[in-house]
Amino acid sequence: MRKIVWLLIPLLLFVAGVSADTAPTPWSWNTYSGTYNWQVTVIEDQSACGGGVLTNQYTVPIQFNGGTAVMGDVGHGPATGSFTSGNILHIPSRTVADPPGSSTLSAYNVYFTTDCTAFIAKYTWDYSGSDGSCSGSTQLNGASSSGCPGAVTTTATTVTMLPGETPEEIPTIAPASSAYLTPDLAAAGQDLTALTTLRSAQSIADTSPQFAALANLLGQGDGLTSDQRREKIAELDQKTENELQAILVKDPYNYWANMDMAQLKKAQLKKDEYYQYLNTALDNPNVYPETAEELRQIIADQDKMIKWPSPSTSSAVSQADSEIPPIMKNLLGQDLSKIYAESKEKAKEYLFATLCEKRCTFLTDSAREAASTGGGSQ
Amino acid sequence: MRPVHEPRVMILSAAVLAAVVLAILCAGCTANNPSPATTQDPAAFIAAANDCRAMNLTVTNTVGTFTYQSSTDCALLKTLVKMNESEPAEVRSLVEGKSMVCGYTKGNFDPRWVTTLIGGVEYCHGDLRDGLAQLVVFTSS
Repeated sequence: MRKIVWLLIPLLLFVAGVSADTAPTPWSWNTYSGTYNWQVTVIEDQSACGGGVLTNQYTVPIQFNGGTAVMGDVGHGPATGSFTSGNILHIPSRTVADPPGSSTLSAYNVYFTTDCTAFIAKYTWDYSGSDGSCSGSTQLNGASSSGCPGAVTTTATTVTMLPGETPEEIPTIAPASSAYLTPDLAAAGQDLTALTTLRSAQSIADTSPQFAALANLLGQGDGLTSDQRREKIAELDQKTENELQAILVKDPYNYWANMDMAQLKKAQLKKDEYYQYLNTALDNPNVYPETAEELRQIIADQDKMIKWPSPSTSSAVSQADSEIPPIMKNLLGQDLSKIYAESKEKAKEYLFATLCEKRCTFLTDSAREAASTGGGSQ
Repeated sequence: MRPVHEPRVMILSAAVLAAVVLAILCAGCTANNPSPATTQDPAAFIAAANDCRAMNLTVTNTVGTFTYQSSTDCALLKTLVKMNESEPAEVRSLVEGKSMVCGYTKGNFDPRWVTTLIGGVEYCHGDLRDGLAQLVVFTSS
């Protein structure tokens, strides 16, 4: 019996090697033409309109036409978009009739997995009509068990899982590791740090010339004139956005790129887009609670902390702790108390990302350096 | 024949003229930028700031000593001047001696800037904002 086992091992290794060599290339929806049906869970947040959060399921067809596709009706009518990469469908912003008024829907991306089992998307909308106006969001979670069209099997669905191993809930589109993006992330992070520092100084100058002069005296100024600063901001703003967009096209769920893009949008005062990118970063279940722990460690390292402060050792931390629940009820105009109720750790990440201005990007630079050694899309 | 002035007289005249000019300038400066009133009452400060009047407030609480300065251009400068001795050095290095500027429109001053530590910080700019954001990371979970 033992001999048979020893004979089987090389055979299994050989088969595994052959399988790896002949594994098909990942599926790309932008090369397919035809209609594909999805089971879509639509989560519509109408809480700002007095309607609560509604969840419905529909069978929704998507008509693929190579580089473009038409998403079936998920509540706001069909929508036509174009692929920005193999598995990312971009739906532009549009205004639709929403009797008795109309709704303006934000642009959004539909992210398909390479094994054709799922997609996710989220957009925001602003309703306005004779009965008032309000804003909300719609999240789409698509699922299918039919596999990729025309394919017998796909790489992702035939992977044998080891005992205790589970597939990622939100898979990376491509490739499996984001380590190759580290130089791009570092460059974008550097630009974002410079940009947010300039923006902070300009915001103070715009808010109060008197206090800006004082900030200069306190060593918190940069010595630039407002015109010089605005010129640099305009230049860096577009450059940084392009850099981050390029990363997100390759890896839409990349934690650092989404966090940085969120910071950029926050600085641009685009609140809805800020939350959109922040949600994408923080909704990834593979990130928590590791990132929160990483953040604490990075801050502790940078400030050469011997011991981590806590509410029991610091009145300031204790006071901040007690202030979190009411603050979560209205953070940049969003009620995040539900997130706080679900996970305080996650709520703190939202709060940190929203409150930080300059050093949040500095921190993520260090964090991504630490993360790059581990690889993987975070 | 031109009168001959002694140098001492000329210097004296110039000094008097300079003193007069300086006095006029100072009077102008004082009229435009009167020294802000100082109060120990947070409610009075909030009322003044809400009305975009210049006022100073100093508050000492369990965290430390804060100064608040409101200006006529509807801005608040909040500084955490000194933390209490009981605060660990790790926390001090994050926020002590740091300040931030918060802008608002007349009638829309956010009182949380005075009554809380982190409330409304997302609408401010400066090093204190970043320090407070980092404090949040160390709160209990």
